[in-house]
Amino acid sequence: MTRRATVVAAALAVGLLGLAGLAWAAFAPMPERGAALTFVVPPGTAARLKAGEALDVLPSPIHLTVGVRDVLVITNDDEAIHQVGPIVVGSRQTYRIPFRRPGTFKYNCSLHATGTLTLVIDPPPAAGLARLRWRLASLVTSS
Amino acid sequence: MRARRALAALAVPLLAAALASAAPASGAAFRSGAFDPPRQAPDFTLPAAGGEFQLRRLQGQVVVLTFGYSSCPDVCPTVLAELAQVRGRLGAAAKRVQVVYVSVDPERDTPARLRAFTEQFDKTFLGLTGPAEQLAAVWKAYGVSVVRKDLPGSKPPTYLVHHAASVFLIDSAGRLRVMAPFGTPSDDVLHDVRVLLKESDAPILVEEPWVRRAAVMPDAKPGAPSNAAGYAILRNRGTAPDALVSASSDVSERVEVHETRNMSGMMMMEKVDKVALPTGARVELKPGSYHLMLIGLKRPLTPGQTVDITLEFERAGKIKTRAEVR
Repeated sequence: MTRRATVVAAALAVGLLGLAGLAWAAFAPMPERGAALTFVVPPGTAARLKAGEALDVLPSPIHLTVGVRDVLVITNDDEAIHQVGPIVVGSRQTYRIPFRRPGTFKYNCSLHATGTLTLVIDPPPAAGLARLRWRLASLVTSS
Repeated sequence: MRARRALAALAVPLLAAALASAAPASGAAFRSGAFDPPRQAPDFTLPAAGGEFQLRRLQGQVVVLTFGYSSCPDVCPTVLAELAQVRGRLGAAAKRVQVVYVSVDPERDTPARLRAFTEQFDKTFLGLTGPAEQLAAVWKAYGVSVVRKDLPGSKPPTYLVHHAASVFLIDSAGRLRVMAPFGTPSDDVLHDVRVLLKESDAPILVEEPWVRRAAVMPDAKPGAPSNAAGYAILRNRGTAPDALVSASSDVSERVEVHETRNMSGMMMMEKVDKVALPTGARVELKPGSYHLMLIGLKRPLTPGQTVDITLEFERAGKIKTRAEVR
């Protein structure tokens, strides 16, 4: 085998491996139990809000996916009580809520500039392109 | 060039593998939104037929608390119909569940009108209304947003009240355990009420557990074993006497039951074999009295963390509890 042929074979092998990876990402079953999407209200938040600082505490809408990442966790590490949408979380307290069905929920929320907290619960991504797209998107958001 | 393409192709399976390792959520007893650690539900008083209503007086029962108004066209009837269904499906246990419905419309909701409304769903539902400022304090404590919206062009002029229609579950010890936002399936609310009823069936209750870490002395050697004290309220609601005999925790080498005693002015701390819990007893493990000693901490404790402690009783056996570090 010439050197050129070896390089081509190696590249082919690696390419095949890559394709297999993509196929896995598109068709492999989703994890059985949902993972949590956690938001933490850091210490000193109340003081910073009082000082008139505009804090970008939470995104809106918040996206969750049924069966995949379908548990919303809000942890308040601040000394003060905080309200996130309809949830009043005491100092050093955690609120944990699982979602089992897709849907969109809107709540009044003073922590959002728009005054609204929107929760979007997406259905689990179907096998194929949707699942591949979901895995790539969650890779971007988790890194 | 070709090498770079090959490298990119290799990266895909590696990244895919990284994605597969998302941590699963830990199993939870509740199906709806739960608070950890649970804290006492904000207490309130409101005028009621034959005197005053006080939330705290409902301790011993599971309280289902929700908010709304009698002129509500859509959301409130849905919530109340679902709660009536939940209560119906509880059978005999429904006697130990009280639904409390607090008005968000003090202007139109008179006690009589509110009663007429709630009774359409279930005769046991307790509708509460009162002066606007008194109600507003209750809304605020539970984070219920209330916004009045006038209906333009309506004759006579009328309005709607936009309000959060969450359902709050308060356990028999008066602690706020669950907040189920509007839209939570009634099966899930039923499930969570059953969890709280089952909990309150247990003859021995361990309430408000907490741990105080010992002060770290400036001259302490690094790695020196340190201790912490644990406190809680123990209640025996069963028909037989019981006793706390031992305790354990995975954060310390061992846990002992101690008593602080005042021996003619000198405070003595002694290990005790058991803490007796006669029928109906309420014994507080507190500073200066009975308490748990977590001896030889395996990791430093910081306020806000929780610590799992297992208490062992003579009759009731082992009861797991989660204590907050303060």
